Amino acid sequence: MPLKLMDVEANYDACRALKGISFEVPEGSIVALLGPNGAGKSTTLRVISGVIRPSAGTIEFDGQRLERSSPEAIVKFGIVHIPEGRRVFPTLTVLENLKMGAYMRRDASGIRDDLEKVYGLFPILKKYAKHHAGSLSGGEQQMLAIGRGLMARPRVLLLDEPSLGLSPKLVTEIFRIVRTINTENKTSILIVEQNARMALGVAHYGYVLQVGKIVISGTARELEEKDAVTSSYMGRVQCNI
Amino acid sequence: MFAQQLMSGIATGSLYALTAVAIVLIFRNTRTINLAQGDFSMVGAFMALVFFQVLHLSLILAFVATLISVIVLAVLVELLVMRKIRNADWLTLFTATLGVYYILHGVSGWIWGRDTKSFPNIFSVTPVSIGGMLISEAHVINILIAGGIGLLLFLFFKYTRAGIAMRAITDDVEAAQLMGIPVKFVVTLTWAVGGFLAAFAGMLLAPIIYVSPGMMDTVLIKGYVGAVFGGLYSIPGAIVGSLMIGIAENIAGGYLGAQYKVTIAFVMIVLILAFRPRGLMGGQARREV
Repeated sequence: MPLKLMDVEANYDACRALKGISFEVPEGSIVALLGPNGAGKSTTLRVISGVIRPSAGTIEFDGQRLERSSPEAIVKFGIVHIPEGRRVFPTLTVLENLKMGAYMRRDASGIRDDLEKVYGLFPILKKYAKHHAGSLSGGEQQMLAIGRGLMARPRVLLLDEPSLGLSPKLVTEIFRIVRTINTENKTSILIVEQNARMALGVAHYGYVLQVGKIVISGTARELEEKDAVTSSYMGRVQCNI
Repeated sequence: MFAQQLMSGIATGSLYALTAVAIVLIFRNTRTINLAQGDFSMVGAFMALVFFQVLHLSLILAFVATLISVIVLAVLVELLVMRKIRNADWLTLFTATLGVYYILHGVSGWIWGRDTKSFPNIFSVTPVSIGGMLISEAHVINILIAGGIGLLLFLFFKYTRAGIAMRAITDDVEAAQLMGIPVKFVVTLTWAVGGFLAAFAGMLLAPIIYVSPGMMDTVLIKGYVGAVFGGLYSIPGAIVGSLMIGIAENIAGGYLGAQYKVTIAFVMIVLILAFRPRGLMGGQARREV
């Protein structure tokens, strides 16, 4: 079942408002959400994960309407948001962080299996399991943030700027993992990225947001060919707060 | 003489720590400096008197009933008052707890009267000799109970899902929400733990300071000073701070006179705010108040 947004509006603040956006994330696909700063990309993810209530429009997943649900309920539906800036719990250990990702689950053996899977994906997390998350490097924290999200066993993963502030080598590594998660678990992924080329490299579809509206949409291949993406992305910040 | 004062200082300090730790727990999860924390204990002390002397429950039953009553009181304050204004700035939250403080003072005085009531000594005050040092049995038991509660809290925060979630909320509320942690429930649980600590503080302090609506006023301040030692954030810091206050006031009381007991707590808060504003173990980055 796709995740479907219809005419979603939100008044987060004057700048990052959404002015009626509609798009969908087909099951098992990777969708890239691109656009300049302040276009409303993160706001879109926050509306889906229930942190911000949309003022109009509907969000549908699996035949259920989500736009009035609490963030906890949305995690239960299988939609997990990995926020910008990693946001790991710095004073908790790596293992405790991962356990918190599985907070909503009660299947102890499933949680153990997923922990092994996450350790398989990110061996560094197993090595540092007992260390405080705050002592990890930026790249390791991003891996922990993704691992923590995976512990919820998501059906849709919302990824906000996973490559922000990472070295080129790590960026490549993170995108390789995004692709692995998508192919191995059939997890749908909605990815917001500054690095438009990298994102379109892994995505199936792409949407370009500008001032709270979708201005371009198409398959990743089509968007890669349009200059519009890079130019709209490179465009100056259109809204200062 | 000095060693004995040290021990009784640790005994009173460990009771202040019960208040200090509760202040830290509630503050770091809700940005609320809970002025009503002492009054939770005060209501607990009155309830214990009711259960024990009026209803003639056995010691253990009266104790459990008091524990439950104070936890219920703390949870009600959260649900009926603090939850409604949870997104307000810290001054609003602080002022609301001041309101709760006065309401609890007033209602307790109205129900139970404003005069001071004695509280039965549950533990004998006869001194026992430990390593050549004379210390009252009550002191020993207070230290053991406070230490036991400390251990219990440590295990709770380290090994239970709810305990780890409470620390996660301290670190980052929004990230916790995105992981599906039910933030509202965990905040209520935080207040319940505050009530749990308050019930012990009230029942253990009552035989020493007697029971009246204002019984916890100075203890609240000492507990708050202890919490400030931990930067209102660190539990070990709050415990060390409370023990230091207990020791300092006992030594000051012994050498300078009992009237300096409260002054010493204020001297300590001025010193700590002047020289280590983030607490003894401060330096850790944390979110704005």
